[in-house]
Amino acid sequence: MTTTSLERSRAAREVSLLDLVDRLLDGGVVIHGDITLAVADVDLVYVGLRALVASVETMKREVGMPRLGSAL
Amino acid sequence: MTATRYLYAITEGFGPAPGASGLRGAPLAGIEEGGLVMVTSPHVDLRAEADEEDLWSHEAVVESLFDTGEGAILPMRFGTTLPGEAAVRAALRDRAPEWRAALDRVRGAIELGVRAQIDVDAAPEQSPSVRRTEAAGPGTAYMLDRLGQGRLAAEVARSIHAPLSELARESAHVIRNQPTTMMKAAYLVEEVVVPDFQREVERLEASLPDAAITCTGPWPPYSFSGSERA
Repeated sequence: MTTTSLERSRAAREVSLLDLVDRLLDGGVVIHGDITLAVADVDLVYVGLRALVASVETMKREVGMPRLGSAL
Repeated sequence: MTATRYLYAITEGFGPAPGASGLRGAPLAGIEEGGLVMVTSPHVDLRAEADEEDLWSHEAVVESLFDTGEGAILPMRFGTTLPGEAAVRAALRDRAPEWRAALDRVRGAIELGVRAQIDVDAAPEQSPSVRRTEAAGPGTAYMLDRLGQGRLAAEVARSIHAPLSELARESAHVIRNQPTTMMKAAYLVEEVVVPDFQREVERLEASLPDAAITCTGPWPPYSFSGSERA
């Protein structure tokens, strides 16, 4: 029923690593307890990813600004 | 050698496509208990790392389940593992009421992400509180300037969030540590309302020249799956 509208919006989708990281590391179902993955390991890679994310944001800001200035 | 199950998503009864693979190419397996299915892959000595490849592998599996249209799913947080099939079954039994309630909440809806970069420097003409700071000393002026910019950004963020949250079943300001000039939110939107939502984002973009708005999705309901929702 809604397949067409969903496909249209999917085509318009801007996949960004930033949004992906926000969702996969901050969202989703959390299981407490029996997690075999060491938390320290996650935190270490997490730091690396945030640095990557920061550079993505900077890039977006730089791209975004001229358009904003001209809009005024 | 430690055997583990890496977890991707909980579904309301359907499993992965036959022959599909997940993290590091491992075969996907659905483990069913009481009508709920946990989609998993078996690993030995797995060290999931939050690098780009593993993140996309997780996302690809979740999306493939989300796209089947067979029913609601709850994505798991990246990096979640359990020691084996028995532990997965135990989790499905123990948390069935909570997960069924969450599946009911997200059924028939998708997640849309909205980010706005708010350009406060471009807007002083519109803000008397910012303009007044010129009369004060340099230190005070700087502080007032920052306060004025923060207020202005918050105002713009509110004017984006208010109409969008009205179109959503649920909404969440998700992300921590954001600078005041960055607004990020997630919206759980009924599939039939998605075109209206997109039109509203376009209208906001046109009416708010100081904000660069980016809308992403449809995402599986990552921001609305846990009991720890923001």
